Amino acid sequence: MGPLTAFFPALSFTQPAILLGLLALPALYFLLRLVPPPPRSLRFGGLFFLRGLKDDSTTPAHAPWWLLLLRLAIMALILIGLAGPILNKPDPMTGSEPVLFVVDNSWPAAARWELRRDTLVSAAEALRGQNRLIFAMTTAPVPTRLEDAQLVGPLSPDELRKWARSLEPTPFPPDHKAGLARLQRLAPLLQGAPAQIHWLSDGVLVTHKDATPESPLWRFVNRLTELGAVVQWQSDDPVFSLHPFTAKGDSLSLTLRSTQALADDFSTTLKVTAQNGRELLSVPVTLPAGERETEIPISLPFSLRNEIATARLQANHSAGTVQLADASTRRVKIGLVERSANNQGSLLDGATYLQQALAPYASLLNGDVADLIDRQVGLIILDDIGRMRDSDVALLETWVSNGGILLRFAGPNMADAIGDKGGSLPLTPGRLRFGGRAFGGALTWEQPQNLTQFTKESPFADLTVPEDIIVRRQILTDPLPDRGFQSWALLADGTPLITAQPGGKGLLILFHVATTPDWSDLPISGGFVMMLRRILTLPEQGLASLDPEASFAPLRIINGYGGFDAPASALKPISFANLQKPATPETPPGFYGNPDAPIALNAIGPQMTISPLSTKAIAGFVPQRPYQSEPAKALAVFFLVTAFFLALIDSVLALWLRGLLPNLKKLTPIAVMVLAFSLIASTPSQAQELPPIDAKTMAAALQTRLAYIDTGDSETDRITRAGLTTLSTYLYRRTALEPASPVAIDLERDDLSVYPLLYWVISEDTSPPSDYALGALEEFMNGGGLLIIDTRDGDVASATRQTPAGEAMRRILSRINIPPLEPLPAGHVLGRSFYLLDDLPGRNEGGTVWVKAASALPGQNDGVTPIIIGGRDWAGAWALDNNNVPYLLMGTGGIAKREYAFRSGINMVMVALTGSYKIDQLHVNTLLEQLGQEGNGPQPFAPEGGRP
Amino acid sequence: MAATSSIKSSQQALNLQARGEQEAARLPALLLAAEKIAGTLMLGLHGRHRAGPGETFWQYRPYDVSDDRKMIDWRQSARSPSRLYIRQTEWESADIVYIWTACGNGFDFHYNDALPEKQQRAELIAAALAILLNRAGERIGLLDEKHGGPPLSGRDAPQRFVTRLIQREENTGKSPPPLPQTRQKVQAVYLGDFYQPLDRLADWIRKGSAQGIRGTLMQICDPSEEDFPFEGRLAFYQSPDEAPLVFGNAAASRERYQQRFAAHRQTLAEICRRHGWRFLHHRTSSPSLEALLALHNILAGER
Repeated sequence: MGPLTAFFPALSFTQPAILLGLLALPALYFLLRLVPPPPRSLRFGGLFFLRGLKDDSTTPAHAPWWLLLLRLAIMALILIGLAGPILNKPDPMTGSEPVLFVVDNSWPAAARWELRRDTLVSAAEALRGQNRLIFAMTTAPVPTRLEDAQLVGPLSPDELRKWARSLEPTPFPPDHKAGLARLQRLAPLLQGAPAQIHWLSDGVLVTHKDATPESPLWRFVNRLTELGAVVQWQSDDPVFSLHPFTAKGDSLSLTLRSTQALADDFSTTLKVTAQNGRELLSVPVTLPAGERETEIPISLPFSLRNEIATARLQANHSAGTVQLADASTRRVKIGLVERSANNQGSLLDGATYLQQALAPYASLLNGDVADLIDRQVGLIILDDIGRMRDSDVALLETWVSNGGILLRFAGPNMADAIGDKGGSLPLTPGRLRFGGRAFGGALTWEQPQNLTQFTKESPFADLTVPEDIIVRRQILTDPLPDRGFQSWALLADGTPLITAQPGGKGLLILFHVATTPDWSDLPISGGFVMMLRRILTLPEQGLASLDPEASFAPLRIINGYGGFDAPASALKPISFANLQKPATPETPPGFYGNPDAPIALNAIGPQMTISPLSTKAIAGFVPQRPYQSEPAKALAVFFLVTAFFLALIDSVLALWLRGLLPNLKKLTPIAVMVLAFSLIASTPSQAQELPPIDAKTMAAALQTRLAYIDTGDSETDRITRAGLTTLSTYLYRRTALEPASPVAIDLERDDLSVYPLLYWVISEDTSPPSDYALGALEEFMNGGGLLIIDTRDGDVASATRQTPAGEAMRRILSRINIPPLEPLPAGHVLGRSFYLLDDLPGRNEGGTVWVKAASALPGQNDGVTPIIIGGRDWAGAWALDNNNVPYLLMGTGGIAKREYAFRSGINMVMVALTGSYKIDQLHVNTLLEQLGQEGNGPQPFAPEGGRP
Repeated sequence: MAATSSIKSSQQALNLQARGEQEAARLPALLLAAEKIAGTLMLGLHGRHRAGPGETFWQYRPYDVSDDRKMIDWRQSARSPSRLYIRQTEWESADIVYIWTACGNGFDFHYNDALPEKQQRAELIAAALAILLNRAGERIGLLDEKHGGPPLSGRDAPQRFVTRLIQREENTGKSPPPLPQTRQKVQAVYLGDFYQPLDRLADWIRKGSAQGIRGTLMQICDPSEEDFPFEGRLAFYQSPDEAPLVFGNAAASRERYQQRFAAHRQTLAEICRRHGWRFLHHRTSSPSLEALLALHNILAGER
């Protein structure tokens, strides 16, 4: 057992004594070797002759070595299984001193939270039955109201288990200050007795830019060691963290960091979603082996990019692998009012500096005021514009009062304009003084001034004041009381550098210096970019963020696993400035403020670095132990089941050795046949390559039915459909034909070959069909179909004047290859096929009905006309509704005329279906006569006789 | 005690009856098959047409010095002056042909299901032979210790013979087949495989020959017994209660097996030849008519 546990440190046995049985395996080996597998037994009559024969067999009498090995393996598996192997048997937790569990429940622990939970649960199991004091505490900071619950004890093992199960990671970095305070509270409970301390550490050190976290950690560890013997549980897994969005030019990216360089590539996906949870992007992420950092580019179109709300790593779920995005991440549309400048693009042009500063964070549009407002920019910049047209001023004023933000920069032009207007320049915060001032010139005694202060009400309040900004020239504000404006940035002498004034729902901001570096260093300093970025967030976050009194209620809060929770009711709204600070228990990470434009507070802020706990330094006096990556697992069943299956294999092999399995050679032909059959079956046959017949065509092929061409005009189609339906009913009643209900045909798609008759209403606005459709019609006519074209203009048509429908028909027919036509001759088969008719009347009797000319008859289609063209509106005459009420009036003639219309319809269908037979019948007398003249004797009927 | 023994005996009786019924069911089939074969062999070689012990006059033959003087027919000799005649009668005493077939103990074996068991083939040949001999007027007897009985003759002789034949019990032990216990010179036909030690068989044949029995041995073998077509690791047994013989590689022993088999047959044939007995062999894969014809020819040649 000793060496075995050395090989598998996580494996232990409940009944290790049984493992001694493994020593007997070699004996078993020889035993098995002595007992050969039973031979196949066979009754044999000639045994008499065999009795004396010596068996000098070449087949070994022993079982083959692999069978022996298999059987030994079975035995070994059974023995090991019976010994009750347990993987990851919990630490026995021996001793009598009090036990203290210190759990780092900060977000780095969340990714493998189950490790902590399992460790605690198995410790609780191990402590069961031991009469020991058990204490447990967490280290993450919590809101004050929850502080008491963070240190619990003395607990029973059951209570510890329950506590472990109820424990959840927090979205905060570990705060050893809070842990230290709890240890201080714990100390009196222990009453000086040294405790056995299990520190379930998260293994990382989260440092903020200007914090010195080492000391609380060390004090915490020191305090722990003072209280007793400490074991630090530590996970070998790296902690991944997703660091805030960074925008560079048009590209947006996130940074994925790991506390450890990995041996293998780590691959996962990053899901980017919008505020409503819609997935915007899924980016594959790979952290290459050996690297600790990788940048994840987020390439999204502009409009989608501004919808980004969360970016979430699809692995190692924790508050640290989620980044929330808000307005500061987005690209704002900014309008820069164009100035006619001839030094565009040069370093003398202020716009150059603005573009340089803003391009990474915003889309800069150029144009005039009206144009920019039209394009719905969030911010308009007026760079050194003094005089404006009144119309532009009015536009801008309205725009600002509706919520626009106007950013103005001073400059020579503005200084000029102030002079003109005597200080009351429109669209500026406060009153400006004429002339401005300049420092450090030859005639000035004042030194250039530094920027020294951002005021509290400014959006820059949390920014550090850049020290490198020297202002040489500025425009001054009239220092009147009740100025109505705010100073956002002040120079050393208290004069404002940036002023702002709310105007309606909007805001006017004025930089009192020019955008060119001749007035100040501001345009070329990094502080300029920072300030502009803050201003850029204003259009999105609204002006409320400027109000130091304004507070933002939590909307959705991130939990330790990185999921969203509803905020606890105890959470109070917080100010904007606090939202710019790292998350605290009072300000947990999440979305705050207006649901339409929430402000994001991330678990990992921009200045945060996450490094592995300097374990070596701690290891000096704190022993470390890895987490049990798996809960205790009894493996007996696994071993026994494996042994069972091996035994099954063994019995099959034994049968095979005895020759009791079917001879494989006999199976070969069967196998070949099966193989050949499957090959044949898998070869696609020719028939399967034909396109499938669609349901409509199938139905039409199975049941004869009339069809009409879908004209696209619903009223026309309705009448046509009703007409054909009624005609179908009449056919059903009066003839042997029992047509199914008619269908509408799409010439472009449907297979026409299955229809005997097509009814086509052409009106003046019938759009000419495509060449393909016309080709299909030609094929239909050549294939024996009857096309009825109805222009419904018989009542208005005359020989001298074309109707619009007639024109349309002519245009269409000019593209079809149709046979020569003639007016319906007297005695045509159309007047004889069922009823005796002289004409084919419809709703009208005017116009001419054209059929294929008799001169062209021989040959094609057995002489049956493939086309009937008329303007008689037959379908209109046939159309009756379900109650036999006609849709359309018949005009003069009434019921009798409708009856004739039905008769002509029936005749047409009969010609379509039985045309050649009807023609033969028509000419039967002539045929008989001809036969008689040929001297073949009188024949009553000659079906195969020639046609006239 | 009495109760159990009575139950036992009644059970035995029941078994016996069941077996009897089974065999009775076999009887018509066997008879029919035998009739069929015998029918194809209606050779009609009847009548001895030569002198021998009998009652019917056959011929007068001039006296020869080697003849016994008692045999001189004085009445006939008196009719001719200087000649002595001997009156000979036609040899018409009916032969008794005893038939023995082996039963059980390895004889009821066939390797290929398509072929009959050796025992079935032997019974068929025996029955057919009995029919033939009966038609030829011979008396037929079954050589069996229990169901043997006296030789049979008459119309129903074949049926009674076959009845006895199928009633007989396992007889192929270690000892050779029985010999007819008669002073007469009789024919005996032995159908079996004779897989027995040769010295015992030789003793037996010598003994029979000394008794004046004209024996015919027909060795009936399964083809597998002659060819030994087996391969691989095999445990051979004759009856399930015997310890099997295990051969690791049966094919390796084939040649020596065949040699032993052939030597046994050859020696047996030689022994028979030496003692005036006839030796035939038959494979169950050959038609039974072939064996019957051979037997018949031998027996007919004797007459």
